[in-house]
Amino acid sequence: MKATDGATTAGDGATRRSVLLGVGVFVAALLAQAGVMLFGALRKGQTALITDGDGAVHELPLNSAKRVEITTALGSNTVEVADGQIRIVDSTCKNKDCIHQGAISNPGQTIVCLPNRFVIRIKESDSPEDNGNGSDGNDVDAVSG
Amino acid sequence: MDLSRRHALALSVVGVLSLLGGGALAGCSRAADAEGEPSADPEQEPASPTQPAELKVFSTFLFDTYIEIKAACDQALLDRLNERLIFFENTFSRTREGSDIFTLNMAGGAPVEVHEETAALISQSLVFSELSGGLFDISIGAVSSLWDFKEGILPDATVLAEAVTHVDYRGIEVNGTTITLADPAARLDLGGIAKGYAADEMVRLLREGGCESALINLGGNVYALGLKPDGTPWSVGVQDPQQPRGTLKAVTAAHDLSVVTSGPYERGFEQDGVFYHHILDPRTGYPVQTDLASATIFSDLSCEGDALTTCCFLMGQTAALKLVRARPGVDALLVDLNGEVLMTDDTIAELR
Repeated sequence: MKATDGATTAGDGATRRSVLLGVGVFVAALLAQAGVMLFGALRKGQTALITDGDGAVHELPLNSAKRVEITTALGSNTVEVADGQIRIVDSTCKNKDCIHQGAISNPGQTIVCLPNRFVIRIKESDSPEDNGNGSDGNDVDAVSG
Repeated sequence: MDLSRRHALALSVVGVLSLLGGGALAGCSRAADAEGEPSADPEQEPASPTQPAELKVFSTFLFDTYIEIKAACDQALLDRLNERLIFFENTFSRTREGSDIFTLNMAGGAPVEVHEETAALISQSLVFSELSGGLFDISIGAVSSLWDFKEGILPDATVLAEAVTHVDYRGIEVNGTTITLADPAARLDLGGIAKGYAADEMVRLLREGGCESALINLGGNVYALGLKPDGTPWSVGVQDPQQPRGTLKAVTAAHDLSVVTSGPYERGFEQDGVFYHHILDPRTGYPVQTDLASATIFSDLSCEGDALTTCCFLMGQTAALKLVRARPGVDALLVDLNGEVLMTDDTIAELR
């Protein structure tokens, strides 16, 4: 009853509303498309899973630059996120092997600091295009050596 | 009118947010499933003929290394793998009090009853000792226990020279599950083969549990079981021995294949301008001087791969190629000190 009333008295408004809605949906689609492209450029906003010496897991999205220090009884590691990549920039371990392992950004890749039992893994996704089958060299499931 | 326009705008904003947010969220939850969150598995049955499409990831620190297993299986099976790995650690460790090897090393030459697995592993080791003319020798323990590659401790030369006289695999007697060391000062160290043995056992347990797709990585000893859930072969890289970790020398498409690599770069320390690495020469007690930068073995069994990489590395290029070519079903990729690659089968891996 009320709806019918509204339609008869404000038919003009309803048309404008539909037009606006249409425009809104169109803008939404455009923005969504831009968003998808942006996410693609940022490697779908990969996430690093960091397991510290206590076995606690920290999630760190790689889409914004940051520097984080994580300390346990075994030692301390400082990680740096920049340009969608993550690396260890400082560590209390002796060999600094973890620092020499450089930056990673592809799903499945890991950096391991054995003395501190500190592991960084890039989260895997089940859609292949997210899993870094790109041309940046290290796109394998595991490394022997 | 103003109100409805605001409504429409609000709607379109909600639309954008839900489109973007929804997409991102869906991506996250898929990723979470692939990570093998415990909550994601209740309806997956191990005996089901259709394997779960998602890989669960299990990781731990054992054998003094980082272990990662990705497997299309249920959590119960991963738990069994973990138990088995802990058993191996507690049984094969040279330093863990109460382990078979610890007890054997402390027995002063008396016969010691060990687990079946320990006896089997020792017997296997002796085969590779024979094969390499004694270069692969698990009685290296008297020497290896003097080195500490993590802390960077260089042993005293006199002490090391004395220790070398206790390295001789021919003094290891295996009688069923009874092991006797003829030299009371001999010490066993299964570090050159235990990870390979453990990897093979992981493969066996996974197959037994109905798992058809898994990737086992025991500190760089890799075994690719079956194909990936998407039906393509596993892609396994070979570390470039002369570049930072993560830089690849070659890549192989692996399907039911073990890939093991040995090289000085894996563990070592520098002192007074000399790099001391972990692959010890049983003849001198010092890190071996060889014409290789690394040796990679492709084989059906990881135990064989583990032992053979050490053999190859110690033997050097020429003897290593001869050894591997004589073994059917085994291939090698050797990197020399100039970074040149030699393969026993050029199709086994693609160079990077």
